[in-house]
Amino acid sequence: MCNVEDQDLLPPSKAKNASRTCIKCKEVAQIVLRADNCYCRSCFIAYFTHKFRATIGKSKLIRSNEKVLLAFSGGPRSSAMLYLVHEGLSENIHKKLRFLPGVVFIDDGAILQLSENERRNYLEFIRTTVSKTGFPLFCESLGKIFPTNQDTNIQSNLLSSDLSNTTRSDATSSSNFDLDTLIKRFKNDELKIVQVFEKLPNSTAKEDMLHILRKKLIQQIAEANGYTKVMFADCGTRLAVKILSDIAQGRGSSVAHDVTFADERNQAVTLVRPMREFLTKEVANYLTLKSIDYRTRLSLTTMKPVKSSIERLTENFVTDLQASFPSTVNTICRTGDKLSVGDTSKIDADAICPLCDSRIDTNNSLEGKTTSKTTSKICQNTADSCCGEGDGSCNRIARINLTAKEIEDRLCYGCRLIFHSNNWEMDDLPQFLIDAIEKQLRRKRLKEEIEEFLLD
Amino acid sequence: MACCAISGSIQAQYNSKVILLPFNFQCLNNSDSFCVMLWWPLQQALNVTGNGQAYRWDMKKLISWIKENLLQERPELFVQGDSVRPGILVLINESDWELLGELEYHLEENDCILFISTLHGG
Ligand SMILES: [Zn+2]
Ligand SMILES: [Zn+2]
Repeated sequence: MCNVEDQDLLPPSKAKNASRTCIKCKEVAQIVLRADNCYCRSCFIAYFTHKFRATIGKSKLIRSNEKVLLAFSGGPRSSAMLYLVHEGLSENIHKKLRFLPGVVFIDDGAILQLSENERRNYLEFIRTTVSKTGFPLFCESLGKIFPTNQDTNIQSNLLSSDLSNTTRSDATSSSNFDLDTLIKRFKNDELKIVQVFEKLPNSTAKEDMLHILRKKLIQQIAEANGYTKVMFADCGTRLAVKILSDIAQGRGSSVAHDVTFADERNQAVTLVRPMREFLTKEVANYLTLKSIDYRTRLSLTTMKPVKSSIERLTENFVTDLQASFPSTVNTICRTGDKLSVGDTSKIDADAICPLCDSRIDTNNSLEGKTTSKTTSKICQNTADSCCGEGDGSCNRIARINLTAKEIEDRLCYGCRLIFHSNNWEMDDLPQFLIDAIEKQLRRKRLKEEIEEFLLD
Repeated sequence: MACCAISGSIQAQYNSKVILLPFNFQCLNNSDSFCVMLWWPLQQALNVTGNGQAYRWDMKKLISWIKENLLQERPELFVQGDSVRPGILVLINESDWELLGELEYHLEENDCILFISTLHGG
């Protein structure tokens, strides 16, 4: 029938081409991207660098001198991204990158249950790596997403520790410097989040929540420090996994946003993915050839069976398929690209999930499972004088008492699944979520109040 | 975690003829993060197995040796059949092993074999 296409889909024959040659310069190849697509060392590095800059350049999204925050975890992909950005800025070349980068590191060691020593070593690694680039570094614990009682105002509390600055002023006695203090502070912030994660029903919900909270916190840090873009180092392989696991977890409505080059759901901070054209294999090759130091990130399902979470299982599926059919990842990603994001500006703010920012396209699909909990979240600042705006923008208005039902109703299907167990308390919700829901409800009530006075 | 530090210092180890015995055991037990480097002088390999047979191991033998001797937990996260599991990149002297015959590649003295997990969470 369609012989030509079928050829492409067949697993590559493992013929022993004793010495295959580079497709660019005919030297002996070192890197295999696909069966017949081999590169020598220098052509591969040129290809890789070019593709990275082209992805950024093509979008025309990042302006000259714009402040861009790099989400850095110390793992392979973000280490490659940091290296590429650093190299792209310092070189005196035609396609030089022209933005002002900062680096943010979110420490999720508490959730991964790392020991204090492991965390200190890891932070030390992050600090040394970033200080080599000279970019400002913001370090924060994921626990910060749940503000402690003493400081309820999350905005003022986002004084992200600028480690690289501290080292500079402290250069003489920097050996042990503040890492201990920092970890102590982190631990203090983390009491809540550890409890919350213990209550989540399974690894799938935990991973999902971890991604959402990490992204939220990075956006908050970016916003608080005047960054308008955040770069995430998701590569094609990860995005392919994301597309399929999003769908499996009932997050179909956010697939388009989760895989595009630029996710503009958040008006203040745009997320960009400059690594999206790469496969994990290419990244691993690049890191090795360039001798870039990185750490293998542990995840919640590290050393766990393949079926321990949807994400893990999906990754296994994609990787296995990719091994026999090298165009798997590309095909999935191209399919994801075809989904249109739609005009985000036209979406009613009430139809946005306050947790994951995706559009809500279902109505109460988890009905009958709602629990009757009343809020214990009582206004902490008793001075409930409002500026009169009425939308909570002044942050001084008295808290509305929320019920669990009201909260669940506001979430999208995928996010409801995270909380789809009976044992969570109102206290377990991050403050930004409560604030967002209150704002939505307030707006809704205001609308109802004035409704009868409105002309049709 | 300890093993991960190795990846960046490949160059250094090339030059300083340090004999780094295959794997960091701890790393394999605590996580499946295979950014593991083998500095693999063959004599050493034979000493470890304690017999004098087959001077030149092939990759198949090496992988099965690793499975038998180093992986105590969940070997399926590393091996699949005779070979490594998909998602683990194998580099022989920084070249993709697909170019060198994969399982049939015969180890040379001072080869540097690198197993890199490209999977999330190692
Ligand atoms: Zn070439
Ligand atoms: Zn949601």
